[in-house]
Amino acid sequence: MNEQDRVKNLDACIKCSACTAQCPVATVYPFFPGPKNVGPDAERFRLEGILMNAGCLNYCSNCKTCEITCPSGVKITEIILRAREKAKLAGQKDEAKFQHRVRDLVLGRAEYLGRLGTIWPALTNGLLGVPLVRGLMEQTLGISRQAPLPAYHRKFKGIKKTWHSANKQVVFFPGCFVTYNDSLTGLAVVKVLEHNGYDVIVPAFHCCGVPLQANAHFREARENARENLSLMNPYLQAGIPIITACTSCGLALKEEYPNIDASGAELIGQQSYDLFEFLWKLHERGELREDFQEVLVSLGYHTPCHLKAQGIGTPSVRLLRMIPGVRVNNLDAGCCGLSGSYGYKHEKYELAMQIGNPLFERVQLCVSKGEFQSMTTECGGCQVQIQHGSGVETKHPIWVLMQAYGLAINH
Amino acid sequence: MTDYQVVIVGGGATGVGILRDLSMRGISALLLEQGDLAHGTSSRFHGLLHSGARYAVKDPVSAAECIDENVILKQIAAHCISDTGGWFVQSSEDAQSYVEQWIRGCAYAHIPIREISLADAYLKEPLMSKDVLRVFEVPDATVDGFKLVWANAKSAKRYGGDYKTYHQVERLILDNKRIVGVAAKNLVNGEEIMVHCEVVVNAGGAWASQIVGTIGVPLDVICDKGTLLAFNQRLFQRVINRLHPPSDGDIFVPHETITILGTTSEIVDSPQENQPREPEVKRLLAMGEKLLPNLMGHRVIRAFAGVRPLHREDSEVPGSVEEGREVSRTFVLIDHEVHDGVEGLISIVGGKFTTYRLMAEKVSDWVAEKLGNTAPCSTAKENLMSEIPQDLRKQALRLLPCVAAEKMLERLGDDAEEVLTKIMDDPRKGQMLCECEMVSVAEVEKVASDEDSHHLADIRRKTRLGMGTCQGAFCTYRVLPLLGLENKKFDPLQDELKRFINQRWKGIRPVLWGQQLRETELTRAIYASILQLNENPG
Amino acid sequence: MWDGIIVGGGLAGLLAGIRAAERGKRILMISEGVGSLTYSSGVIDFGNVAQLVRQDKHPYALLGESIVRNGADYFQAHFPDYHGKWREVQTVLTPLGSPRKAGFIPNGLNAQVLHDAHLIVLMAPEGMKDFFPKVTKANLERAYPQCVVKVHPFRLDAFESWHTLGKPVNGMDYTKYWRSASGTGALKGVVNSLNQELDEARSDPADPGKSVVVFPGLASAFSNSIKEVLSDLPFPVVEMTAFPPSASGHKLYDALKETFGALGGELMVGTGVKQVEIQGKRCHKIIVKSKGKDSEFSARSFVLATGGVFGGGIEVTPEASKEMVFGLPLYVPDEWTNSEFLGDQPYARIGIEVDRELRPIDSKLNEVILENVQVIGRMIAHWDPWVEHCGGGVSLASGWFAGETM
Repeated sequence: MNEQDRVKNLDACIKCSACTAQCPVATVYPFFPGPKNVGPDAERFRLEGILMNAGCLNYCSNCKTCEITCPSGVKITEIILRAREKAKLAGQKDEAKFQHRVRDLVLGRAEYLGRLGTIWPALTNGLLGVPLVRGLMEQTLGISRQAPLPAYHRKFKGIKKTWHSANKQVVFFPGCFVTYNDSLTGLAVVKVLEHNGYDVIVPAFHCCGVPLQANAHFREARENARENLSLMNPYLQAGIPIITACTSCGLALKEEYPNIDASGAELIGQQSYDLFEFLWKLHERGELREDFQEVLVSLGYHTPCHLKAQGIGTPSVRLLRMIPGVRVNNLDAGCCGLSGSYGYKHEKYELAMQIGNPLFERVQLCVSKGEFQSMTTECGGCQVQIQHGSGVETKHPIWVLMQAYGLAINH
Repeated sequence: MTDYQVVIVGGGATGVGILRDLSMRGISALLLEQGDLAHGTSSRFHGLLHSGARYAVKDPVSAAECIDENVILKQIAAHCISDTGGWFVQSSEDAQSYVEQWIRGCAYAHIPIREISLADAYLKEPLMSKDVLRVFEVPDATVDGFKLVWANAKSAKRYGGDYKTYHQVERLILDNKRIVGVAAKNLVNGEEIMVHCEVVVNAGGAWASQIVGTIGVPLDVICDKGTLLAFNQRLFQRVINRLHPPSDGDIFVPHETITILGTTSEIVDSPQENQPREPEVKRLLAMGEKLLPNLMGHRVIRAFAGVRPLHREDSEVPGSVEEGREVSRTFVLIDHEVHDGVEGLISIVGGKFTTYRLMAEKVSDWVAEKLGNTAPCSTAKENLMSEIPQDLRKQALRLLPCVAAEKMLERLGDDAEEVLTKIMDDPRKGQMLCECEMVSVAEVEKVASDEDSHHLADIRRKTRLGMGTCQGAFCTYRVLPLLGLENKKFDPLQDELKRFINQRWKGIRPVLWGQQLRETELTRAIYASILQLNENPG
Repeated sequence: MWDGIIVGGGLAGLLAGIRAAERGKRILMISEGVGSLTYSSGVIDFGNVAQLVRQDKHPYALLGESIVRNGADYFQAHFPDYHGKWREVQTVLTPLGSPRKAGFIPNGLNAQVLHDAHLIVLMAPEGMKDFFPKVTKANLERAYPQCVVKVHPFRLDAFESWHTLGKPVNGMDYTKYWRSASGTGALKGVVNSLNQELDEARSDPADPGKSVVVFPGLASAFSNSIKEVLSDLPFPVVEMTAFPPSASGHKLYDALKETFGALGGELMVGTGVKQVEIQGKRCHKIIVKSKGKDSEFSARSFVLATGGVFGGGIEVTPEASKEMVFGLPLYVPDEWTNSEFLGDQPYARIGIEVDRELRPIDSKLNEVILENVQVIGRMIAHWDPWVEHCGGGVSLASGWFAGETM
């Protein structure tokens, strides 16, 4: 955001408080004064040189519900993130304990954690399953023992294949969750794209940077973005689309990467697609294979906050509804609470569960009334949290498409 | 037998400055003000504490006075002043010859200036126009008119000085060409009062000729209306002046959370003509664009106008008196015994906010001599407000968000303690009543209970309530419960509320576009639809 | 290809979407944020219909009384949680406790019963933001002089840490809480304790008068659990309206959204239209600002429901006024303002002039500008919701009409 846009963004706030009324954190947590207060209200004073306590700012979970809610289009989270960075640069002492700073370092680096975990997934998962280990993690790192840490899986490496120049190509940006915790979904994405005649290229990307940013490591987040952009650049220059299946990675690619000072930044926004956004585009062009088999399933759908923030609607719901037999109930019951690594933190676990509670209650009610049997949502974090909070199985929507195409993963 | 030795008429900066000065010399004095303190010109200007650089070319005397007073006020009124510094910026349209004259003028008046590299300038002020040739730093600062006036009044009170607000002077009372008293009317309850005194100081500013007019003494005061704009946020971190002969729309002053763009200059018939008008607003914006491109795109929250009193006889500059800026702003002291044969009456006219203390000193010297008091002036030596004790600050920061705490301490000084006690007793009173300017319920409650507060606007001036982005949309109804339903100090709530939003509306009308227009729609929705205040209840 | 794209998700847009989706149309709705319903009190005003249908150029006059009525009837049929009769005036309490006139109101807000009451118990939830028990009590006493007004303060464990901190609980958070499983239990507890108190009052033979409970921040409409708790009570409960953001307004927004979604409509929130593609007198495609890039959507017809100045559909600068989606010409009054803030403000009548089909017209040539675009709600010129009190009526009538005919 340049200086002119920054002024305009702050000017657009008409102080209506709709953002705070909708903020999932402010509703359950009295110490967080809400996005209006820490965002546009405090910003006018920050410009005067009065910085507010960084502790307050850190309770923003970066879910962007405020931005979607705002009738004036104010980029509230942007203001808050900038303020956090400003506070950090000003050397303002974070009230957080040393333990939390180490923890934020760990959670911010989903990638390193993932690499460790996937070296020997069975061992890591086994360890993470031991209450004593989780207890130790809580005590030493402040990572909640109850939080639904996702299991590690064999690392997703994509599929090495020689390019058929005749084929159309896409680059797949799998994101940390698929790479380290859910490689099967990664394989499914590749299968579906191949089924539609695409070669799928998966370079060795780094974490997109969202978790780093959320844990106040702004410089590192930008470094990751630069490295990823340099990996993407040849493909971007060749006009090849970049596909994400994780909505937070997708949002970062579209919203943050264009502001990075690196070649390819000018193209990344235009050329990155959410998976279903891409498939819907194929459908509109008449290029999607629509020889669907009937799939008799009723699903509840949760829109991840970071998908809402992309401003592309819910293409997966549109597409799933084209499959014979599929019924989708779009719940629109608010944020799941996890917000990336937020809900893993010991001091925020309860909060995250409270935030997600209306959603969990809604899911359970619908299941008990027989409206649907399982949930679907694009975001890996949401999947884990909804399953943890409601006990209802939650998977990526690509699996419905796999079934409709009659595809399976060969182990 | 007199009630007071001196009655001062007019509660602007000069009036309260005189009250403080006389009180410190041990002279008993009463100040009468027709409205609230600082309701007139002293709060209706750009809030610039001049370094004098603005007058360096045309008015070297003023310039020298300004820099002296600038240094003094930064010391004695630190809590009212934000030492932002200021720049003089030469745009490509501004003549180089003027720049050289200006540099010489500053040197002559001993105003320190320093040239800044353009690269450094853009780093510090990224919104500044790229069409700039040279930038000079000067010791300009910003000053809060409300705070300074109240701080003077409170300081005077500690020395035994008295003031009465909402007291309009009906007439001066003469005994054989000698002043013996003042008759005034309490505008709140209609009561007539009579005050005996030996000397009357007319510090009525733009109203000064009306005051001496009550006994038929002529005083030619030119009313020079100046319109200003308040932008929603700080667009600059320091005062930005254009380096050219002073003109409309050539100065930006960052003031608290907002930026003020000033000022137009237009001769009007009376001080009541302080309505900002749309053509003036557009003229300001067009001129301001030279320093800040895309100015029209930035949100103006309101326009306001003040009427500067200029003394015509003092004008040495030939040419049209229709152009107010051509009249000197150096003040004049008029002894009406010399001019009109009335003993014990003195008028102080002209001058500028930055030199209020100096003007007060000169007046007080005259009064002291008249009364045979030999105590010297000490207003330049003693701070207006004592240092805020560290433990009070700590307590404030514990009970309130840091923004609200800092602002409240600046505004209230020692009185903050009372507010903090309220919050300790009932933490709900620590809530922000005005969320734009972060004013707590307890602070508003305290100010509302002050005996000097009679209208919502009085509370506004003392707290900044309703002066932020929403311009009263939300805080107006929130303040109602604090106005005391039991005591009859305020008018019926609905009247008070309507009056307040109509006052806010005056300043919004000439800038009704963009986001402020949306804000207005929201405000009308609240008061006309949700509260249906424009209907008889059905 | 969509059948219809509605730009704007306020009352008018949503009602148009519901009616069109119900007619089997595939509808996409694009909305910049939550519509302005969250700022309204949830009450639907119609104003003086008989007078306004005769007022030159007023949207009521364009549509005619029967369409205004159709919109109202259609709304009421789909949202039985709303109470009111065509051209009958209802009374609700303002957030300051004074009575005010209204058209359709959420069930539970009807203040009629206060006329016959002798005792009003004003519930005062601890620390509720923008609720002022003292002022409310005084206003109730003034409006209902036959009544004794008692304030009944209460506090909930659920908000204990808010109270300790002195942090206000906003009305919408109270409403959210009442609707949760534990909140419904707490509500029962609160009203039952009242029951005992009122029983004592009732048993006093000297005062057999009726007792009514006035309750801020409740919003029982669209919540079966709250309605259930209230229906068991031996005394009537009158809910109050609220300052923005208001739970009643927001619940209506949720209900409209849910109905639209259940009928298969897709709502895209948090984005706006960047550009449109027009051929001759027809629009065929709109381009939406998504993150990073634009998304294109084609449709047969379009509805412009971007909420006027407040909704962002009209942008006014010192130099010009602009309709933001199609760049349609605007009616801009010569005089812009008037000194009485709450009086008639000419600026409020800015908008797009339309024909009887609600299509934008060039009023000088009397020609339709875009044949497959309809303009509804606050975007239409020549009305002022704040002095004419007809905001709900114009939105429903024009929304219904567009949904019916698109």
